Amino acid sequence: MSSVTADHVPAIQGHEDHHHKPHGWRRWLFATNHKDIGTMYLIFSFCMLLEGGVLALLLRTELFSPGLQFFRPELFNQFTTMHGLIMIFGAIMPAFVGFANWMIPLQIGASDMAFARMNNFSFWLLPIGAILFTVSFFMPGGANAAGWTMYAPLSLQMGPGMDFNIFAVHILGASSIMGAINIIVTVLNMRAPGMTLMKMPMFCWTWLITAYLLLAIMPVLAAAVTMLLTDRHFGTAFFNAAAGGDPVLYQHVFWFFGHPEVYVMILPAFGIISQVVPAFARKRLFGYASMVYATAAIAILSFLVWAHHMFATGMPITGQLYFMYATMLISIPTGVKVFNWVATMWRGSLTFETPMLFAVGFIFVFVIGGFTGLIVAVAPIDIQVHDTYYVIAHFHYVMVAGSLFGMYAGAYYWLPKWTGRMYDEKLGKLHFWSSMISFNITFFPMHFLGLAGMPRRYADYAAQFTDFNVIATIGAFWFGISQLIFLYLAVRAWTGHGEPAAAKSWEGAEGLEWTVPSPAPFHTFVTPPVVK
Amino acid sequence: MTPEQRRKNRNTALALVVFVIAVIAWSFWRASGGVGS
Amino acid sequence: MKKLRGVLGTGALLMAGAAMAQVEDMPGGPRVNQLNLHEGVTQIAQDVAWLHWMIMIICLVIFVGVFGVMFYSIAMHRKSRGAVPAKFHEHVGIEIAWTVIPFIIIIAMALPATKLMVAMKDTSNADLTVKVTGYQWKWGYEYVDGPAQGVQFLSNLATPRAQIEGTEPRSNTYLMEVDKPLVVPVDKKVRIVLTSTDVIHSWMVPEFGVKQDAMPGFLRDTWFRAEKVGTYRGQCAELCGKDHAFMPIVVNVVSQADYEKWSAEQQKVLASAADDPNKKYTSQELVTRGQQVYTANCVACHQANGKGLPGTFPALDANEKFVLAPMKDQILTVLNGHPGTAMAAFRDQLNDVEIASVVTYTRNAWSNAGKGPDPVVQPADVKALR
Repeated sequence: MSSVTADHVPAIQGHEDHHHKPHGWRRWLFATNHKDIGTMYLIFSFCMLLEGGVLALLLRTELFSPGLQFFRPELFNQFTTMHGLIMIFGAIMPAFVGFANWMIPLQIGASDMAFARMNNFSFWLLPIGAILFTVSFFMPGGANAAGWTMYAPLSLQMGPGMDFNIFAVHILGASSIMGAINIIVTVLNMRAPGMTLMKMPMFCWTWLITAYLLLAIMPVLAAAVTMLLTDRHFGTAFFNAAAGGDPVLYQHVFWFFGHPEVYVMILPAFGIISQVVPAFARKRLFGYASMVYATAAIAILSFLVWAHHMFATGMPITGQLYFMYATMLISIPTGVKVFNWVATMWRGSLTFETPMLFAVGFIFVFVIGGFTGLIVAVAPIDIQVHDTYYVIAHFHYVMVAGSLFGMYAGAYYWLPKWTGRMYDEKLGKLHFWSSMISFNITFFPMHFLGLAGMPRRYADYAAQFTDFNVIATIGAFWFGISQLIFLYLAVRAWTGHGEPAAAKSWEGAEGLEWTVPSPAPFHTFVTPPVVK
Repeated sequence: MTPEQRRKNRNTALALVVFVIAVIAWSFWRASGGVGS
Repeated sequence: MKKLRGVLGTGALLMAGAAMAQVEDMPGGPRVNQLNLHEGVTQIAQDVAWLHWMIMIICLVIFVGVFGVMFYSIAMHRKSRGAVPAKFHEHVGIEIAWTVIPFIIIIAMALPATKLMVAMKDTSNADLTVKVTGYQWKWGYEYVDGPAQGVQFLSNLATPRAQIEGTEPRSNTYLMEVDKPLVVPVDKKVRIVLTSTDVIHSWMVPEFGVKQDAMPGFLRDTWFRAEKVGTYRGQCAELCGKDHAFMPIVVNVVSQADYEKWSAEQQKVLASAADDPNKKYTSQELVTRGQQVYTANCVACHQANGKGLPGTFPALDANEKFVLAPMKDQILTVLNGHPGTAMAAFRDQLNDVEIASVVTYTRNAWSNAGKGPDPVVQPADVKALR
């Protein structure tokens, strides 16, 4: 990260606050302040993390032993499906938007987001979508049980819960699109004078690129699920072969969204890590320019690889080969980023407070996920492991150990700025180690299950798979409970317990956000700072 | 925000919205036999 | 609630313990706690296993290299050890090196992968072709050529419900056993042509290194040449609804001689068991046959007691709309299904005798006996409505 010094930091607008700042429920329902909206996004997404987590624990309970003990398979499939949808659209994506809302204006020296009212609308759409997801369980036939991928023709057979799902996806997609527009305009137009793009913190860069990805893919998802809706109710035959349609078409459209979507879910985490590691190494980020180019390369490449999710559909050989090569290529810019983080640590002056533990943990576990990603990119191998637990292991390594741990690194890093308190460091470390160990206990055995041939989305399994399933279930419960540690210490900090935090809460932290007091006042950078 | 800033923001946003609508339209066109799978 | 969880948990643990104590490796299927891919009984499967080892080892070397450096740094470059941060933050030479070298490694991986993928896709010059159809929730096999040409049958999960519900101990082939396996000759290139009548399924046999999606309305193909006589097992690998986990695949690879013998037997069975749609059957014959058809095809949704699942799968017992009504609507429903629901069309899966039998059965079973019009349906009635 380029070192940025602020020439002029505006005085705290303390006494102006109670003329402008609303109170009570109005403050939240009509919020236009990026910090308040960021807070709401983060709280919402943590609730969704818990709801999605409960669904995971329900299905892992069924999978504790072979046979059907607790749930009919139809219900089990609803759990697996909604676990995925809620985690992706309810937890991970909104959480990153929460980080963006809080930190982007602070990091570029802007007083707020470009479109403060649209920001409010973007947030309040989310609980509506979440309610639609949750209520779908109680519709006749239950929630969507066709997987988070909603493949046709199976999704065409689902009951009204599927339609609720489609509407939820529309609403959440609209929220994402508006959020992305807000972020792009803010980053492009509202940087403080002197902050060129190549001086911008990496978190802003990764979000800028992520926002472009969102704009390109959310409309495609909207089209895909709309076509499902019309096939279901309005007599179209996009995906119904008997009427001239093509089920594989759905997969192409869906994965054209789906693959860049997973980069949407990881790039902001990369940005967070690129801020946290230099702070705790007390050393500038290695290769800032390459990091920017690598992120852009990953984003562009992500549009060119979607059919690696479709290696078993019966593509002609040229298709299989092309998508295999393109997918393998993405490992190069990703590797560059990992090397740059390690080079940042090399000959730094390292300390390992909780943010740094999560950042280093992220690098370790994300790279494991990256390697299994490379393995499944190799099409002949994918033929054996596609739709097995190997894939589940892979994406949980990059999504949980990746995105979620990246978020925890950012949360611990910026919690002092948000709350004005230093969280309890001992509890933070406990949260890290507990999560790290239980995560690996849960998901590492799934590699073995997949290689041995256990398919995914299975309510029951051959008895030879029992032991690893038992281990995974135990790990899952441990991991779930560990997240309550974070909840506890976040609430403690938010309610004013703990050491008061300084403006620059960490010795090695750099950036405009550390020039304002902790907690950040309601209004910051009302006059933009001049950046050298 | 100055009116100048607001104007710049609005124009950028409009450009992005046009892009979004174009992507939706393109998706439907591709899916309905423009070129097919 | 916690106590209930505890009891259930302990119970499950005990059952798991009991199961664990008895389970051995599945012949032709997964070994207990298997860690790696199957070595396989085809050249393709063995090549995939080799390729996987090669890539894993390369990844392991890179892993050790990168994390060796990182953990060294974590140990030695700590502030608590007095480390002072260096000032460097770029180095063009190193950055180019660690972009180009991985690129070369990727190419090295892609070369054998390309060769293998091309081989996996080459379904030409097959010795035998079998058409495989995916149904919700079973597989259908039809021999397109060779001595068994014309032989076709459905292959259903054979694991008893009691084992699934845990009231009976589980066998070593739990969930991966069928009533009628696919039979193929050893050392012959078998081309599998796949389709589906409803949703996407996927035909997977790990020991062969084979997985291919079965798409409704389309034909896909794949191939294998099994080099060892034996029984090999796989499962459906694309989410297809409630019994996705309950439609396995079993392939008997036999010697050429045994294959020809089996084919001849099958042809004989085919000829003699031909159901005659013009014959008039007795009520008793229809009900007996109908109960078999019902158990193999209808029980999953409508349940053995005919009560279905309220809100999802309609009850047939005391069903005023179709079963205790004139026969026409019920026959049409079984023939053509209910598009947009899970009720499949059975016109291509069941012949006139089977449909007449199962419809007759429902009209005489449970509380339906003696009520409603048309208690007996003849095959000719079904044929007339096709």
